[in-house]
Amino acid sequence: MTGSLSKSLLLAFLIVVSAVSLLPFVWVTLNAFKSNGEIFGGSFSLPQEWLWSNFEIAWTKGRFSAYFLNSVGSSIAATVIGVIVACPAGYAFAKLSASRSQLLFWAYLFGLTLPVQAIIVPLFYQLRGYGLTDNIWGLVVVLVGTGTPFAVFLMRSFYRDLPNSLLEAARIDGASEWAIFSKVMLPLSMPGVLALSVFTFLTAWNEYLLALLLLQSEGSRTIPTGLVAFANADLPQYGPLFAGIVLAILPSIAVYVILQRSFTEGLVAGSVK
Amino acid sequence: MSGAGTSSANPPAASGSASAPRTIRRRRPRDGGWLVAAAFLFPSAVFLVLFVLVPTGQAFYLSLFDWNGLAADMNYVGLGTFIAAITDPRLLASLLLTLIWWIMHLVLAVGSGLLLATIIARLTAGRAIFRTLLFLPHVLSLSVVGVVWAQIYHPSIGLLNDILKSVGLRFLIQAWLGNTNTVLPAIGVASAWQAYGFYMVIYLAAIQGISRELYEAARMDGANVLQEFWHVTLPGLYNATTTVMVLAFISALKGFGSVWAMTQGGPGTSTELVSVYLYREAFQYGEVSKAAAGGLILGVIVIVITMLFNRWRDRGMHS
Repeated sequence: MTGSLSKSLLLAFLIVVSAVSLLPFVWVTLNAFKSNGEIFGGSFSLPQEWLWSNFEIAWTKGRFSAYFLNSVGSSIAATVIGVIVACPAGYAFAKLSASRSQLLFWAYLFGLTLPVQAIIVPLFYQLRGYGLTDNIWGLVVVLVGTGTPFAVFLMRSFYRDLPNSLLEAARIDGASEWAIFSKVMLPLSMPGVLALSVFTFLTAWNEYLLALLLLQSEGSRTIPTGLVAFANADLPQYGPLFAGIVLAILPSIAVYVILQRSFTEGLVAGSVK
Repeated sequence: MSGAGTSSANPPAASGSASAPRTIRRRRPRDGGWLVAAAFLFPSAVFLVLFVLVPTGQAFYLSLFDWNGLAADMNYVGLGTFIAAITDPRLLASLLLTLIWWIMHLVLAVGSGLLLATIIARLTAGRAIFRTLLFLPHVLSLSVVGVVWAQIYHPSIGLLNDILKSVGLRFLIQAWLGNTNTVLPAIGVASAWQAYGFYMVIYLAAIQGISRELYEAARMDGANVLQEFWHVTLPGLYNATTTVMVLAFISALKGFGSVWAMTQGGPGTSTELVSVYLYREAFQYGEVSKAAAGGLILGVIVIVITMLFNRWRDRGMHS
């Protein structure tokens, strides 16, 4: 039997692949502590002196403090508003018979399928007309709008799985439709709310195209657009740039490590449902 | 808003005929009718109308003119802009590049994800650890990945050239993103690094959903590992694969983040995906109307492709 031999070969293969895949993280982190001279001196050495000042330069002169605030603010706002509008709508689609209109369904399906890249041009001029460019609220409302079809379909699938008998019992007791939704159905759909929140937050946190389009002034940039602008500056300071990359990566990894299950569930549900 | 109002005005009885009616529905007590449904749907519908449907209409409107984004007067040209867009060799080239990107992404990212998922599924211990570690790159946004890999490919400080130097492959050293022959595969590898963990997780879930008995039966028939993969694993992954094909296509559109961070479409137009083309055309070359028309063409293509794949998947489910 070659079973145990092939098992250890597979294991060795996985270890090598994991090491290669994680190498960029190690390299970026080490470079974040090096001086420009050391970075040009080659990749395979530890920093002679661990330069925490690189992080300070990125945070202050590189304006990462502002980018960070904009990213946190816009992501939280897009998540809170996105989830609040999607839950009742998803519930209506799942449980209220008057929502079973074909026109409405097709409008949401159209929104789900249409890629945002197709409408970036009119979106920019529309938002500029509202005075919402260079303002994180402009990014927030567009993220909610382009994300709401998916969010509604996701919540609909969670509400559809809840038994109708609960609903009918509450109606016989004379509960209002809003009370049935908010007191009975919403608490039961919390796993869905959590998955949707994680997914929406990550989508907002990682958004690049819309942030580039709508937030062009330096003070309104988010981490993704701010980091790219910092990297493409005329005279890049490499140490602070790598420190900036670490600052951009760290929150995502922290969220992943803390919320691992909802994280992958949110992402996978986000794409498969 | 008007969409939500008029459409949900249908009486409950009439909507039953639209989809397969269930007997329970007829016995259900009153659920408040369309007014309640409209109230539940209204906040979400406002956002949908304002930021998806209105811009789509605006794109049609803009494409009827020949506007550069600045001029006070818009010059009506009818379908002229559409014709200019559809016959623009750069738009066609960017669509072709998007197709190439899709195929490259299927091979590099989906292929690695599937391979790793089948290997991890065979492990008896340590599945969770490898799943966690290998998924890690996917938590980064594509633009951050672009910045990281732009440094990895950097001609003088880059990790890749340093590795080549240290293993005696000095002759391969080059400016990976400055060479029109290497730039596309280079960005393809960077995007695949970010994406493979995601496909791995999808495939891992799909593999774990395949019945153990099928594998046991295959083993009883004396199937080897490859035959087992071909006759049991692959057919069991049909649904996951059709989903993944669409996701990989969407990633070719999302590729904007990594491309813009690494090359902004260059050198020349060698990494100009259709999303990059639209952005450059509208905001660098002032061809606002043409970019709006190009966006609509892209929208139609994406909707048609998604519908085709969904039909394909549904057929697979019934057979």
